[in-house]
Amino acid sequence: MARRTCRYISAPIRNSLLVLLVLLSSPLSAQDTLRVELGDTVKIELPKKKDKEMRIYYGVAVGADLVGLGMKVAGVEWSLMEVMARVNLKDKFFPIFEMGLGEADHEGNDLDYRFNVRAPYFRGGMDYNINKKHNGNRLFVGVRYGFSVFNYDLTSPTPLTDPVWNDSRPFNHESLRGTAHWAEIVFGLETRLWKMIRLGWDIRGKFRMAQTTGEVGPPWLIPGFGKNDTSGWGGTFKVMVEL
Amino acid sequence: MSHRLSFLKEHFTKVITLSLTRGAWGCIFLLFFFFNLTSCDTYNCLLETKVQYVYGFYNSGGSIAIHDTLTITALDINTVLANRLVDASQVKLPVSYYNDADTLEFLIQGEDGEGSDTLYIEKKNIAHLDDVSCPAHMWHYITRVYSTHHLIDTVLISEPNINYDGKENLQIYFRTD
Repeated sequence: MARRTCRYISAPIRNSLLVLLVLLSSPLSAQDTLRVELGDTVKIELPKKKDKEMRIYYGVAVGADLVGLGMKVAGVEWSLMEVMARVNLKDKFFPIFEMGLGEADHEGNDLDYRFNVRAPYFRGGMDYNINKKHNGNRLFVGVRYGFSVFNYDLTSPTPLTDPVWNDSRPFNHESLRGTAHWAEIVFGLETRLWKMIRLGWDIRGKFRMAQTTGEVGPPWLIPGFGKNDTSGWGGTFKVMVEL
Repeated sequence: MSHRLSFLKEHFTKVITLSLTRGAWGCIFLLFFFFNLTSCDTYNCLLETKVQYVYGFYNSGGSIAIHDTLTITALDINTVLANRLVDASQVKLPVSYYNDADTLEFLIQGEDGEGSDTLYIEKKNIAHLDDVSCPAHMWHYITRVYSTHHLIDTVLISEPNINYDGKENLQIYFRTD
């Protein structure tokens, strides 16, 4: 009668068995069997909870922001429409890449000056899930670095008139070159909506790090950043599909 | 179909409820959307936006005041920009918006007689708009300046940028002989 295998064995025997398993690993994998003689002690590793936690890659997800789309549909004078892709590592770390299209057609309050831009923007960064429970809900804190290179227009249907020399020229300055770099801190919440589909939102504090503008004047809006200022707020309301 | 709609409604409700039950952050988020979509522009336009030439008068001993009357005329439009100034040590004059060069006559009249010089200022003109809710102005960059030398000895460019700063742009050194 064969002895029953044990889960717990003494250290010297365990070590020698491990060496033996390493030496036999090639034929073992080829044959997928191990011959056990009567009287041998075999260690069988049962999956432990810790092994489950060691899993790193949990998949990728792609999604889109609904805020920009909503603003576009609602006829708001500016919008940031974006899509995103992210990787889930250990259900804690979420490296993310976001890209979008920033658009604005803005007219001044009292004057006829008009600002136009339509340009892409890019962000990269990482979210960290601070929800310890793996129940489908995630609470995120994260950071982003964003940049955009864009052309914008500053125009007016009314010419600019020199009051002394009495000379007028149209105020049409198109394709002014601008660049901007900024950082964001993110707080967000996300939940499973249905199977692979997730829904969530985030708010972001944005901090402009650098910008170059055309010599005529600064852009009213920076694609991806929002209204041009040293800092600002933003957010997304996104639908994501986990692949 | 109605089952699916109720399903979606239930889950959207879940998200919103979850957002709100997270306390302040949920409220901040909703307020953010409210303000973001309805906020007005609050850019404060600058009050002091005069763009002028600023001339300072000097001789070899330093800054001087011209005790005789000084009249400055833009020759290309035959318009007097400064009329019969007395005891002027500095003067501010309008800049043409679009000319590549301004030609100004400096006429000094006194008890001992009168004399004049012509000043040529070559410049680059740059339209400037701080914000679409503010008026546009022209800024300028002085590239070259020269003059006749009946009264004027030399003219130096101390600040080539003519903008809202109001710094002294040109130093006119008069002859002392």
